[in-house]
Amino acid sequence: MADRELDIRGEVCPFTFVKSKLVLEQMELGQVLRVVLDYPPSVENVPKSMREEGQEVLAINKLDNNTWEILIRKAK
Amino acid sequence: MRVLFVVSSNPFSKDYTTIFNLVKELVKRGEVIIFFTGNGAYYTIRPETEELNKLGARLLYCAHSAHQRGIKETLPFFESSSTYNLSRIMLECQKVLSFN
Repeated sequence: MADRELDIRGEVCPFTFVKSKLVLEQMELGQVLRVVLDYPPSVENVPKSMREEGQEVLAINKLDNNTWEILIRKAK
Repeated sequence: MRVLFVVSSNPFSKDYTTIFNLVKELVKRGEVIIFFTGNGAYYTIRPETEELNKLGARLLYCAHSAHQRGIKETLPFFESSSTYNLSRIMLECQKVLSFN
């Protein structure tokens, strides 16, 4: 279960990552952010950038034909 | 030394020979990263680009630019990346050369 949710469907790079990062910065260590998006390049790059930032990507799930959720635990 | 090329010009147009010759020399002095964005994303479907990879350069591309241009699948020697990632790489490089 996520501590916070961010629905950024309709957003594209690089705002998908920037907005996710801004919300995560407001959260406590160990809390989980659920990001919902519908842009394929971001589904690939948001988790990648999060890992490079030292965050923990728990899951990348396809919800339906054009929607994904990414679960990120704040680790840093 | 780490050198970053940002390439947004059309493939194999006015810049390519310069890029190739620079990469050939710079890989001898350190790491070379090429980030293809804008129309430079079209390089990702051109097999000839592999020669840059064979020289030793790391080839990244903006997944957003590729998606906008209808590029569904890129050649295997390219790494998917983003403008956010580009901003981080820029901080880690001594030189940034832009071809647009």
